[in-house]
Formats: sequence, structure tokens, C-alpha cells
Amino acid sequence: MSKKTIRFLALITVLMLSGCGQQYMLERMIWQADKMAENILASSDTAAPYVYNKTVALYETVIAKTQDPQLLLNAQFKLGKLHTAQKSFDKARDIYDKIFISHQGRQEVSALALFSKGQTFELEGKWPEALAIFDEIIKKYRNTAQGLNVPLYIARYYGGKDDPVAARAAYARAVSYYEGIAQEYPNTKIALLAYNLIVRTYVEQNDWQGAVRYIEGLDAKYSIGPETLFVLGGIYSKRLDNPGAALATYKKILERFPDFANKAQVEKEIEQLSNGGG
Amino acid sequence: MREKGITQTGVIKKALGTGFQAMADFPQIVYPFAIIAVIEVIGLLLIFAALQPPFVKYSMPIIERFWGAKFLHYPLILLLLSHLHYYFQTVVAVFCGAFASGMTISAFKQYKQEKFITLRSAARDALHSYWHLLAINLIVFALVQCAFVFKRQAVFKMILAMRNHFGDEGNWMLIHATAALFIGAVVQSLFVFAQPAVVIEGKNFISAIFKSLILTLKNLWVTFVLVIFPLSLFLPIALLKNKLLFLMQRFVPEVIFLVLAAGILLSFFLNAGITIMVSAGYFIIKDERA
Repeated sequence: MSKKTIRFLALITVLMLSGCGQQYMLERMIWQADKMAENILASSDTAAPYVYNKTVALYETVIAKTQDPQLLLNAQFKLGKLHTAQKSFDKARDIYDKIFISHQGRQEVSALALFSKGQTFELEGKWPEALAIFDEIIKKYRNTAQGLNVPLYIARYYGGKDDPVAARAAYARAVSYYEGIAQEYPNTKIALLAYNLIVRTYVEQNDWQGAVRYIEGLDAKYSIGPETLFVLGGIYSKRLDNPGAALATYKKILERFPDFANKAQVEKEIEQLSNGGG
Repeated sequence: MREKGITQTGVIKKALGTGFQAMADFPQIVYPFAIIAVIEVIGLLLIFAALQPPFVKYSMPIIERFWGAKFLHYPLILLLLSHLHYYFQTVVAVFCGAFASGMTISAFKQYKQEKFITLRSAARDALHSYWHLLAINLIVFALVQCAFVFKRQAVFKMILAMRNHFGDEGNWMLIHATAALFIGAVVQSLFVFAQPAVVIEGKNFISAIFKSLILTLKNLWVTFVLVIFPLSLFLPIALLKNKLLFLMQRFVPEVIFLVLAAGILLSFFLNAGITIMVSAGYFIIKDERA
């Protein structure tokens, strides 16, 4: 190969890589920042300020330079989370506001930005402000995954505050909200998600009888899937000490869904229950 | 004609001596394989560029279909890079490797005949025999792939049996890499004298393959020392390539570049060395009959 050819190839390579490397470098920065952020989030009280500053600088560089909207969004949310963990709530809220404004048309993104903003108020001890935002999500973003989770999130907040009366009321509100959603979007994935969340409200309150009643009701109405029946069997055997009902439920799974992916586990449960275990 | 009374160890000693002497007297003899190494490096850069904007819009549909979109992003993109580079290396080894081997064997032939050695005439010789050399490479490649299918089943059964016995998969997956390398080396060794037979004696690929089989089976120790043993030096790289994900997590993802570079460098030394030594050995044993 002549020297001219080698120089030409080298030039082409350098030009190509300098143009192509930008995206790679930015993604690498995000990865580095994520690694550092992981450590900060794991020990936010003891994280050295220069580590925090360096992580923030990496995210900000990506935000300033990237042309990729998904990478930008990713970096913005992560930076917001980092500021929140470091209790720089105003900075975090600025970022979430920017996301919200620039993604008005994207329901899931808007809902997540609002929810993250609400969390900053919650962590700052400003629950009424947080609640106002969460209510806004419930009203405006009902059919998003984030919107669906919020009522249960609010109920959990009260549950964690050792306020059983408020918690019970919040869980009851969540159930009626989810029932409304299920009726509003019948026979859709959202309805299915809403039913699952209702079951979860009962489970989180340790209301096993309520959960069983609800699942049995759903089964009578819609003939539910094997996964939910498996959960029901587990509640019967492990929470309500009712091996007979558990055995019947597991057998029902095998009858109705002979190709169930988790068939081996079901058979194992049946064997244990038949042998008097469980 | 093979010298009377020369043992297989004698053949090995003489082949190594002549081979190293040829490299010392005429270092350009390894240029064809050096060019292959350069092509592999350029290929690595081109694949990397193809996975980045602005070219990624053309490669994206294929990557998404066969690997998934997440492999277009850091750090998994590096894992994809190593996979794609493996395919590229395979194509280069089969198609360009046939030519490079032909050139090197021809240059060694000129050296042995004490002619004035030029790479230009070596290239002409390689081009003249290219289709026969390529046919041999394609047959070896096909047989190695067939052997891999049987290996996969056999090793999988072995791993299952060991897992049942020891209760843990552990590092048994490394057996795959070792078995693959060993099987590849054994299959290659059966055909290792075929390309010298084409270039040195002007045989067609079919008679060259038969001659190689005879020579290999009659000189197992020679084949082991000149082919299988050097190829086994590639085992550390094969094992590292098998553990790329672990290495990426343990160190930095760019460690993949080091492993790939080491692989290219080692391939260059081993392929050039084996081709020259086997050519030297062929000159000693070529007149043996079954």
C-alpha cells in the first residue's frame, strides 16, 4: 500500500469517527453519570460534594449537547432525580417543569414529569402542594400508567404516616377510582390494570378476605387469567390457611389453562397441598 | 522427497528452523497477513461507524430485528460490535485469507527455490490458484460449522449432566469456548496441507485435500505441534471473548476493544506463523505416499 493510500484511509477514518463518536461519547457520559449517581443515591448523606458536582456536570453536558430527544429526556429525568436525592428541590422542579413544557403532547412523559415534581414537594415536607399536583395527574392523565398509580400512591402515603383512618379512606377512594376507570374503558388493558390495582389495594391493607372476595367476583364475571388465579391460590394457602380452597383454585388453573407457563409450580403446590403441606 | 530416516520430531525441528529463517531473511513474507489484520481493524472502525449517527439509520432496522434496539446504545453497543466484528472476521478469513495464504505460501516457495522473492509474483501465484484456495477454505469453514452443531449438542448434554451432578452451572459454559477452539483446530489441521499442495505443486483442490488428509494422518505429531498447539494459544482470547459481558461490568465497557485488538494481533502472528511453518513442513514431507 502506498503512503498516499494509507494517509487517505487514515484521514477518512479520523473524519468518520470524529463525526460518529459524538453520540457514543454522550451515551458514555450518561453511563458514567448513572454509575456515580447510583453511589450517590445509595449513600446520599455521605456523598462527597465533588462527586455530586461531577455527576451533575456530566448530565448537563449531555443535556446541552445531545440531538437525540430520548437521550435528552433520559438525562433530564436522571438529573432531576439526582437533585431530588440531594434535596436541591428547586433545581429538580426546574428540570421537571422544562420536561413538562417541552413534552406537552406526550401524556406519559407529562404525567411522569408532574409526578416527579409532586414527589419533590412530598420529600420537602410540603404534602398539600404535592397532593395538588397528584390530583391534577388523576384528573388530566387518567389513562396513563403514571396516572393510574397515583391514587394507590396517595393511599400508601397515608398508610406510611400511621394514620389508619386517612389510609382506609384513601384506599377506599383508590378502589372507587379504579372501578370507575374499569367501567370507563371496558375490555381494555387499562381496565385490566385497574382491576389488578384494586386487588393490590386489598393486599396492601392485609385485607385478605376482601382480596379473595374481589378476585372471586372478577372470576365469576370475566373468567380471569392464570396469574391472578395463582395469586388467589397463594392467598388461600398462605394467608387464610384454607388448603381446600387453595387446592381447588390450583386445580382450576390446570383445567382452564393446561398450557400455563408456570404449570410446574402449580403442580408442585398441588402436590404439597395434597400431602398435607403448604 | 522426505529425507530417509528423519523422524516426525526431525520434521518439526527442520520446519521451524526453515520457517523462522525465512521470516528473518524475508520479513515481507508476513505482509499478506498483516494486511488482513489492517482490514480487520478498518472493519472494526467501519462497523462502529455504521452503528453511530448518521449511518445508524440504515443499520437500525437490521439491528432492531435481530438483536433489539437496546444494542444500539452504550454500553451494549460494544457487545454488538464484537459480535458483528466476529462475522466480519469470518468473511475476511475465508475470502481474503485464501488469497493471503496463497501469497505467503508462494513467497515461501520462492524462498525455498532461492529465487528472487517479490510479493507481486506471489500475489500473481495466489490469484492464479485463488478459486482452489477459496474452495478449500469454504469446505473447511462448512465442516467446522457442522462440527460445531454436534459440539453444541454434546457440550450442552455434558453441561446439563454436570449441573445435575454439581447443582450449579458455574463456569461450565467455558467448556463451550474450549471445545469450539479444539474442534476448529482439529478440523483445520486435517486440511492444513491442502493449500500448500495447491500453490507449491499446482494441484486442484480435490486432490490437494486428499493429499492433505494423507499427510496429516501420517504425521499426526507434526500436525499437532505445527497447527493444533499454536491454535490452542488462542484459548485465552476465546475465553475472554466468551466473558465479554462480565469484563464490561467488572472493568470499563471499552475493555472489549482491548480484547478485539489482542485477538486481531494474535490471529496475525498465529496465521502467518502456521502458514509458513506448515509450508516448510510440506516441503519436507510432500513426497510421502499413503
